[in-house]
Amino acid sequence: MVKNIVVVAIQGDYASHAEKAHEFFSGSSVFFAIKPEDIPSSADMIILPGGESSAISLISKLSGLDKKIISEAEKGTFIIGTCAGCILLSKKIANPGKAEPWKLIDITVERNAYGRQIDSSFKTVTFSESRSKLAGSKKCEGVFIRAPKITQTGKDTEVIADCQGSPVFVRQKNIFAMTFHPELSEGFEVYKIIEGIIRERQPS
Amino acid sequence: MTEIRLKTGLADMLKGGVIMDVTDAKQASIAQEAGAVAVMALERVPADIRASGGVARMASIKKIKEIMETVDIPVMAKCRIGHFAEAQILQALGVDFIDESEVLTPADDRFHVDKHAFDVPFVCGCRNLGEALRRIGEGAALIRTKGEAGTGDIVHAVRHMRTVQQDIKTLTTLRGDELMAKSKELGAPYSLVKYVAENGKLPVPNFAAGGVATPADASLMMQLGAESVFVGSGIFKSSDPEKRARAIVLAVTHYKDAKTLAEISEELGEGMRGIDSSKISPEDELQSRGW
Repeated sequence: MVKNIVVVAIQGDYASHAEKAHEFFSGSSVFFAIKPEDIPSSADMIILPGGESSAISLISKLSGLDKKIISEAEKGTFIIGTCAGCILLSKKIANPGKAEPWKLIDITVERNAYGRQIDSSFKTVTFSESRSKLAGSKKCEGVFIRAPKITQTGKDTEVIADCQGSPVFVRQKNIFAMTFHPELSEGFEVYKIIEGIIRERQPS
Repeated sequence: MTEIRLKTGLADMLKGGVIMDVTDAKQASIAQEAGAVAVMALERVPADIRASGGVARMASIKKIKEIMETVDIPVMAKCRIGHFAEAQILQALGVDFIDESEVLTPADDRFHVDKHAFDVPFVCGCRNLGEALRRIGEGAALIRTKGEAGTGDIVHAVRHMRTVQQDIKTLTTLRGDELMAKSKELGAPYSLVKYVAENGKLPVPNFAAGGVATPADASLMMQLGAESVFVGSGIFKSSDPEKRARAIVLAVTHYKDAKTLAEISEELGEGMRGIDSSKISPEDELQSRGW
């Protein structure tokens, strides 16, 4: 199903993402992308890791990797963004600083919305009724590190999970965004949901 | 007490990036604009600390606050080795990472800060694996080579990184029944020695610092196994800090790509003049502070 996974490796915790995704999607190959030409034409999933959104935004713009990812998204390649990745995928950043949104999913985000590192924490993430079936669980651990908040969602944006009243895991078509770090937790609930939705969208 | 996983989590987010020393809001903006993943708020860069002598302490609160208000990337600050009161103040200010640093004048000649007692993560310097594991044992969430700060001479950072990597490789070749003796020899906790022997890596990220002045230096350290680079005096002691800062950021991302490195190293202006560190007398060496 998911065969060729690209992990954007400009900066951030791309290594943890690669390991976790490879473990879950058995038999998949993982490619690291720094420049546009690093994305193979056979890519079926692109992961944007956590890191500093301003640095990833700037460096990917200089090489044109941002445009390449946007065109992959338009082609239907599944795109998954966590934390900084979620910020970059958004339609609007309330406090952008040096980060530019790629406008791939109809959400507004606020960077560092919980505060500084001292306010980073583990929280419980609760899945929507329908998606908890895919996860095989109603809840999972959420690792929030200098995390953003999703402050608005468009009418076509599905809220897959929330935490303390705010959406933390959302989807629009083939674009998934979450404000926490499933790659840093033990469980695979988030991956099971993504796999289930991909299956729904690609009837075999 | 915050779980170490949350602390190393922020260190993970800094991988593949550049952390720049800055002494005011203007420099902090330049660093952020260039694509730095974090800044280190300082009173003076290490080259100036070295030149001016005297006691080097935690930066002034006003300066740290000004820098925190200017940028939205993480802000780090240094406390003196063993000075847990400075560390408490930095935590109360809300800095994102504390560097218990040999660049400042040590406050305690026997004990380092108990870093487990803090919610804010710490980074500490090391010259070899034993020193790295002692700091991790005390609760450091990130390790960096000490190098020789403020010289612009990369030789010590290279030696420290190679030593740590070789020490790690050696551990992976040992039998289980040899690890306790090795733990005694390294002066490091047995549980951490066992972790490294089994996993072939440190339990926290490992960055480079101390002497990085050019994009090539940054690439060298990444190729030797560093996961990110701290740049101290190298940027703001050069003739064109904006260009050099951007070039070092790109060098860390594209560290394996010599063609790109050649392009970004063009027209950088003059690098920091630097000091040949073999001319520094042992008592002036910063790296021998701490144990």
